[in-house]
Parts: sequence; structure tokens; C-alpha cells
Amino acid sequence: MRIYITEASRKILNLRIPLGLAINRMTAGFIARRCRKEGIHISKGQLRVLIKEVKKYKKHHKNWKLVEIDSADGAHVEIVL
Amino acid sequence: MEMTIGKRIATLRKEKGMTQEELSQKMEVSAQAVSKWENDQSCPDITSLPKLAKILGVTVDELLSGKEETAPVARVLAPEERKDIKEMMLRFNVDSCDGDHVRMNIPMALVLVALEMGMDLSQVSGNSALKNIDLEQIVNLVQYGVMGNLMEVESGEGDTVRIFVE
Repeated sequence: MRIYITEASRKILNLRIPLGLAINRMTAGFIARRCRKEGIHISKGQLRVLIKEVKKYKKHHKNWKLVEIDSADGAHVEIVL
Repeated sequence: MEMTIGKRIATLRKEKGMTQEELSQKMEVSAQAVSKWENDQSCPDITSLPKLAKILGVTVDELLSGKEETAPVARVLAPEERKDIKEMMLRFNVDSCDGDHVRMNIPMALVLVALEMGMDLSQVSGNSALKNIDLEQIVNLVQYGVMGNLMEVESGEGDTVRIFVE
């Protein structure tokens, strides 16, 4: 998993994290709790199913760009799984 | 971020899961030449651009300008032309009136799972503009072979949301 952030042509962050470390059964619990605080109702079980599917998909589709954001002030964010 | 032609070649090559070596073999040039293109030390020869664009799965215009061609209008594919729904990608393009652009690429395989779990798009994205979009209807359309630009919504605030399937 790669998180790439630049701000007005200046590289800010290029973070590479193994996907298994970022999303797993343990982090599913943290994410579910955080989501509840944000008013998003996703259970730990639902997240686990999603995580399993994300990993399955990622296995066959390398460099899958999940999100790309270009802000009006020139910032650019990319999350590649 | 300024996207040079070299960066675009590198990005498209990686999206295709190719190494520089593989691209150089297909282009019948040296791996060093590909490396130089990607580092903006040189440019591919103009006569080789159509071939390069074809290998990278884009048009020459997209390769040079970096602007994605607008998604084709929705069309219905014949049963023999249809791909496995799990191999398709649901794309959301949100262009806000403030000038922010958000692109999300969600595999249909995940959409199907989310649907089975009864989740809605606003839960996943946190974007209220996607709140009333019926995932089930989108999946039904895709299963009937509808591809391309499925929906374009403009909110009262001036945000545009475009949903298409590839």
C-alpha cells in the first residue's frame, strides 16, 4: 500500500506500508471503533469481510489506485493498494 | 502536481504491471531508453507514440496531455462481449465547485460484497452527494451489460458527480 502526498509540486510524503500490516483482523477493530465515532456504522465483522475481499482483489490487480485527490490549492493525494 | 509525459508513461506502465524491460521489448528499444523517457531525460520518438499508447492502453492524446478521455456514453453490450462483473471497476469522479477533484476506483467485486452487507456508498465514501445512489440498481444495470457513463449528477452547490463502469 502506498500513500503519496504532494503539496504544490513539493513532495511531502511517500509512505509504503505492507497492506497486511495496515489492514488486518486487529486493525479492523480500531477502524470499526473509529467509524462508529464518525457516525459510520460498519461492524468489525463487515470490515473483516471487506478486508478479505480487498486483499483477494489486490492479489490479482497490482497497483490498484483506490483514490486520487487533486485539491484546488495544488495538493495531490494518491492511495495505491 | 505537474504530470510530465515521463511520469505518465511510468504510471501507465506500472498500472499494466509491466517492467521497464518488458515495455522496452514490446517497443523494440533498449531498457535504458525507457528509463530515460520515464525520467524525462528524453522523449519517445513521435512515430512510436501510437504503438506506445496502444501498449499502455490509452490514446496518443491521453498519453501526451494526460487528460482522460470522457467516458463513453452508456451502451449495452451483447452477452458475448460482456466481461465478468467481478473484473469490472466502478469509478466515481467528484468535481467540487471549489476546484477539488476526487477520483475513486472501486472494484465491482467489492461493490457486490458491500451490497450483500447492506452498506451504502455514503458509508464508504463519507460523501453526502453519493448518499441516495442505489448500488443495487447500478449492479443490475451492469449485469444487464450496461457499460460506460451510468450517471452524472450536479448538486445545487455546483459539485458534479460522475459514475461510470469500465
